[in-house]
Amino acid sequence: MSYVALANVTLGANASSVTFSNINQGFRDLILIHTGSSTNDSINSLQLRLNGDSGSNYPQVLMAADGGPVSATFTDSGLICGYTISSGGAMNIAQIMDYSATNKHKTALSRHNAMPESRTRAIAGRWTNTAAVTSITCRVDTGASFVAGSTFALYGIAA
Amino acid sequence: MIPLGILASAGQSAADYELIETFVAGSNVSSITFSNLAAFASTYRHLQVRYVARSTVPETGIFARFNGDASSSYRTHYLLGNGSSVSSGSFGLDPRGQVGLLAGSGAAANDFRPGVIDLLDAYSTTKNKTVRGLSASQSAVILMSVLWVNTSSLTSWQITPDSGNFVAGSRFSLYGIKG
Repeated sequence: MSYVALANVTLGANASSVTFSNINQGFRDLILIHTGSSTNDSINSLQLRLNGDSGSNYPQVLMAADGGPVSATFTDSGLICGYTISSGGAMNIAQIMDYSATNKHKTALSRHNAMPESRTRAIAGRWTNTAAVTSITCRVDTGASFVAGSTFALYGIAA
Repeated sequence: MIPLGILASAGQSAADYELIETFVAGSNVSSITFSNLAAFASTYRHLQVRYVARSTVPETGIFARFNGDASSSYRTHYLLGNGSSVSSGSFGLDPRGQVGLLAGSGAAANDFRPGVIDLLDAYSTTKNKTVRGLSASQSAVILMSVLWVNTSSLTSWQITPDSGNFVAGSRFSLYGIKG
């Protein structure tokens, strides 16, 4: 099987984070898909921390259409997979490539789309660590919570 | 914490998306070619290349050529974010199409950058071929589209850096997608 559903989570209650742990190392890439909203009534970053690393080890570049074109570079305490807001309608897809390799930093490509805020973004990020990814923690960067009903799906792409 | 294991895929055929071939450069290499792709014409509708690579020269582009066609048959459009501004443009018709970006010699050690490239309706003989790509270098993220003005069914897909070589360890995987 080349495209395998590893886990699907639908929140039954608000949650401050969602963690996928003990990730099988038998695939080449991972794809994480999130839909839903957050408790904070503002635009929050959906952040992925790999192997629990909360250090400033994730340099990134984004390109966005936020009513006008925007591009920025930044370093964060997690890969920015996309964004989430309280009014819902956000969809974020992150592709973490060569996640089990131990001779490369981990890089990710993410796409974000959201209504009703009418934004779309593409983000490229890097975790400056050659360790294989064994866990992914999804969280909202402002400390807000994911709202009940939010979904998280993790897929493995064959090696 | 949610323990994770391999669960049965829900509602998805195992054969709808399949790995065809993976190439990992054992040493620096000037190009890679997925060949004999006609063998899959009755199985897949679309093809996807996923890569994590870098070049031996400074940050550069990655290009595709189909069926060995080196005639001026490729048009490229792009939308690029370089960390300070967004730009867009187009070029062609050229003897190859740019499908993405590559990290280059100025990138940090162990920094190989990714790309996902989709070739839609690869085997149609009534349509020109279209490609879309999302990729990154060490300083930019880019969306690209390529038009190959040719209705031939796909037989090969060559991938090259704009200049220099792919660094050893660069990885390219080809997947078939049913439709």
